[in-house]
Amino acid sequence: MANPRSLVFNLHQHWELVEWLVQFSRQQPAFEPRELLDLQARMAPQKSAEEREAQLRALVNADILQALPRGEALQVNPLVLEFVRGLTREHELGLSAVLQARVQAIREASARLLEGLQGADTDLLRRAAGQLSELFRQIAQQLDQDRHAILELAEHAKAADSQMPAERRYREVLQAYDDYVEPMAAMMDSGADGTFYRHLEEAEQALDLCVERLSVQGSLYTQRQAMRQVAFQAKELRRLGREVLIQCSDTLLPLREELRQHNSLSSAISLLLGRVRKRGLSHALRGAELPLWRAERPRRVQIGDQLREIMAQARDYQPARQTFPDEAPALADAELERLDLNELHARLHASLPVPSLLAWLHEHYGQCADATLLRLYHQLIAEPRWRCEQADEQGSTDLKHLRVHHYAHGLRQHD
Amino acid sequence: MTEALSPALPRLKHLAELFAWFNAGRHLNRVSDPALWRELEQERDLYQALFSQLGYQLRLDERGFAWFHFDEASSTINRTSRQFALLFMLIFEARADQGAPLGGFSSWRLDREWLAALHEGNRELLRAEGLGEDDVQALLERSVYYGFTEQDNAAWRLLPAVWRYLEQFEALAAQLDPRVSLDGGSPDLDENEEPA
Repeated sequence: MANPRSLVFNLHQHWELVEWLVQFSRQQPAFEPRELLDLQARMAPQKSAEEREAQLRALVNADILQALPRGEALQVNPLVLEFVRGLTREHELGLSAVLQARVQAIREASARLLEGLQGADTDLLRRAAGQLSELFRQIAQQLDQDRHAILELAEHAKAADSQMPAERRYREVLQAYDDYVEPMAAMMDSGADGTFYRHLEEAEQALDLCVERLSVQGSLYTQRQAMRQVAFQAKELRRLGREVLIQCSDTLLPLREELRQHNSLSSAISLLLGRVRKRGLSHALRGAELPLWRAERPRRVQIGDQLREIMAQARDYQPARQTFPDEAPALADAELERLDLNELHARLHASLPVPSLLAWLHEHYGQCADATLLRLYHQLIAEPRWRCEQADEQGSTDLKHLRVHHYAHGLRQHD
Repeated sequence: MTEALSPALPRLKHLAELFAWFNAGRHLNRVSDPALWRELEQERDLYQALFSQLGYQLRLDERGFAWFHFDEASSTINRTSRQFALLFMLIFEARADQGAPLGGFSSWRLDREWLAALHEGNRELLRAEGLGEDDVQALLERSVYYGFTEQDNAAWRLLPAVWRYLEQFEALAAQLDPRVSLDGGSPDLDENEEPA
């Protein structure tokens, strides 16, 4: 039998090694002394062989390591294993059956509590309340440990080598879901099949009744207070149970779904590719609504006449009336300015040189309108039969209604 | 309806861009175009109503992709889509053989060496479908345009729009009785496509 003080002291002294050993115990339940010495050498290479052996002896003497009945192999003391796993949250996932058995035991303890109450058996009351309290504590502890174990399982699966086949990678997740989460969900079902909430509720009612009776009977305050605390434990446990179940499902369900989807996709694709290899692509995919699209075409939107009409009606549009001008009477021959260009050319030719053509036109054809004179002016300066020269200085010529400021064009005969 | 839409139209800042995108047959993925996706998601109802008035079916998938849905297309597009389907099936089969969870396809990086090995392993099948190594590369480049993949430093990544194909693979496999698929015909399926 280990001395608790020595055990705790050595645990403190050699905590790092013990923590490693507890982790390794998952893969290997017992260790040969040689393996332990190798592990120590890896962990603390600066220590000498004597120091390592002394450390090992100390652990054995403190009963942290126990010798197995046959051979020299050593295992971590189960109490230490449990304690260290609890502290480092490295628990293995518990059995849902254990949880169910404890939940079942709540019912029996509640029945004893009621029995003690009816028979006014204070001793039975105290013992039943103690049992309930212990059960609540154990269930809460297991739920908390299982929650961490499940989170770790999921992390382990997610972090595992992605090259590992998905089935192997998620094997533990699936097992945890089937063996733990599903039975737990069935147990915590709020319907008639679920035992967890029902038993807890019964226990709570029994405890509340007990507190009430004890108050009426005028029992000791400490006794009532103890009962009340157990009732609080029951309430807290209900909340914890719900929380753990949700957390476990939320953690494992996506992984389980991922694997299910992987399997379904992988088998669908294998089946289809098998058909493609045998019959060709177009035949194998016949009936599939594959994604389709349309070739890009530029699109133009134009408002139709009907729409214009609707809009006009909507806005009560009245088009402005435009009246066409009446037919104008033909101009009388007399109103048109008729000029004999040949005669004009002859007269002009005779007058050459002319210093200012516009002044000459005004002088000889002053009866014509200003516009006619200007038109003649532009025509005449473009004529090739005489030479046209422009004055260097600006001058002005008065016509009938207009005064023209210009660099006057003069005409003279070709040299 | 049109009157109800009109005042809201100025809110749709990327309307022209989104319409051109979808009208070209392209898929919009949240991961590759977060800015466009954000507006589309925020104004989802408005966009859907507007495009529906114009005769288009805009569909948004919660997994982060959107597209204009068409039930019919030309035979060329049908053929391209089938070739995409074959390419994706081969990629998924190869990744499943390597043990990768298929649901996490968006994190795969498909580099040229990997694709060359894929082609080598399925040379006969691809040749039977008229796809040489260069054609496979060209097909992948086209899939980038349509929003099924994205190119990233000489490697490709599959985008969530590939789910459209995966769903069809599952649906088609569910339709097929494996026993029927192993022997002669498939009487339950109709010929409804033009020959490629």
